[in-house]
Amino acid sequence: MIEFLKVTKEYDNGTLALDEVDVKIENGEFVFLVGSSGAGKTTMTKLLMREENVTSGEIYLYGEDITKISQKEIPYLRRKMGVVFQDFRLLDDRTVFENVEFAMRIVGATRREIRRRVPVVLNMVGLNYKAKMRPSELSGGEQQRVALARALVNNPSLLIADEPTGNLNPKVAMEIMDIFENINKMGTTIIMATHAKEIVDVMKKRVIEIEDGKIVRDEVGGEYHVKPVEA
Amino acid sequence: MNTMLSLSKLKYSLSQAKKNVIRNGLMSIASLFTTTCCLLIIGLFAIITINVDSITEQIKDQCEVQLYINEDASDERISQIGDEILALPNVKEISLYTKEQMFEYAMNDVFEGREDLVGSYTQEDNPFSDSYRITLSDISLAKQTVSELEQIADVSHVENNQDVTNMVLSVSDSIQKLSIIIMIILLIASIVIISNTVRLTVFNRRKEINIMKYIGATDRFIRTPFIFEGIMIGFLGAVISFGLISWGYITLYDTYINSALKGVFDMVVYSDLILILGGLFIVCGCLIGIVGSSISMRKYLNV
Repeated sequence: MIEFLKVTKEYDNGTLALDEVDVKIENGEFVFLVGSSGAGKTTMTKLLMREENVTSGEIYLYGEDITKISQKEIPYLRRKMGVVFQDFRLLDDRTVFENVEFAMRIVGATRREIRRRVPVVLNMVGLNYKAKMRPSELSGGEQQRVALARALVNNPSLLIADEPTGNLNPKVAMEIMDIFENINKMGTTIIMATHAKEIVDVMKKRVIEIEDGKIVRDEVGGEYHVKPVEA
Repeated sequence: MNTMLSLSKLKYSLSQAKKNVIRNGLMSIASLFTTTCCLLIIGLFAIITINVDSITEQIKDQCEVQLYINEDASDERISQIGDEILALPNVKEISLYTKEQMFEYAMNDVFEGREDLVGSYTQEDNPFSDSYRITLSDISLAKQTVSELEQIADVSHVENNQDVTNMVLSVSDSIQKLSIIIMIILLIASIVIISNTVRLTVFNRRKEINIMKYIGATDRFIRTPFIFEGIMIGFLGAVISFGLISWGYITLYDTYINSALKGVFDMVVYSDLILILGGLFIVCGCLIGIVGSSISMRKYLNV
């Protein structure tokens, strides 16, 4: 379970990204974070990964206040979650297999565990047959699948995605969302910051809308309808 | 299980480091070249220091004063004086030169064939005095020891040529100090240069480091391959510069053996140098690698 308690985040330049946010997300939920650019969605994901820390407030992840953990414990916090980004963040000088393997190496997996686990995960995202190719030889959708496989390979109970479909066309984006849906069905909590209206509207999941650092809507089975930014 | 894990991580780090050295070919060669050059110069100064040190030791060994005894001293008194000299703290060994020996020496060796110069001198009318040649343990205390020697009864005077020696020693001392300072400066300089080169490598791979951080890699896991990379380059640089400087020294030694300089001072034999040089190079090489990589890693670990 994830719980934000009166979380405020003010950046050094004075921007108030989150203003006393309270939110609770149960295990196994699928949550969309929506809102206009700069509303505070990405800040929420960054706080969860401890890329940033709160100005005030508490964030509980499985009962532990992650705002209090030391710099040294951050890597171990991040191993509990998988992360997917808009720009995939794959290593171009390694094969698909090696990109996924990389995440297992970090946690000290043995070669045997790697040989057993990586094909399973690649199979989940439908890329087993491209294991030996390099990211640059793949389409955008395929690259995001590799990133997903990498995020899943260590069996995280939480998956954080920041605009995972932002660089993909709608058809490919929907295919990626199918994979997310399957992962969620297996019990993984998913928190996804997105601008993709068509996806949010189709998926009918919990939608949390943030505006100016405050939660303005929290609706299960909600739709996107974020106010367009006035020109 | 834990050791198994760290072993697999270690193996992975090593294989990554090896790949990185090859992948960053040009950069690795640049680092290698810099390390080798710096180590060569450090080695050069080390050799100078070691040789100056050895020459200084030789000079110290020749640290002698001559003590002359009054003519009216009996043989018994002369040997007594010998005991008194040996009782002084800074005296290493003494040898007695009787005036008869000196006369013989002068007649037979110095003025051989030119006996006319000696004039009417005979053993009975001997112009020489009995004397002791005294080897001192510590040259820096020569002045004090000489004044102590002069206090002994029946001593006519003490001849001390240590001023020149002392000057040579103080010069060699300065050379050694200067060498050590230069070596330290060079060591720091090469660490800075290597750290800059590694920084470029790290910069090229900032994306990879960034991804590793997001996936939950510990700083140590990220740093280790870079440190190994630095050590590999530093070690290879050490081996190359060690080979070069050894070859250079042996060549120089051969030239020296066959030159007129051989009698003037003793060059340290190569086999006496090899351990010191080898150790110095490997320690410096690895140090440059480790410190250089660590410095350049710091910035990119703050994600």
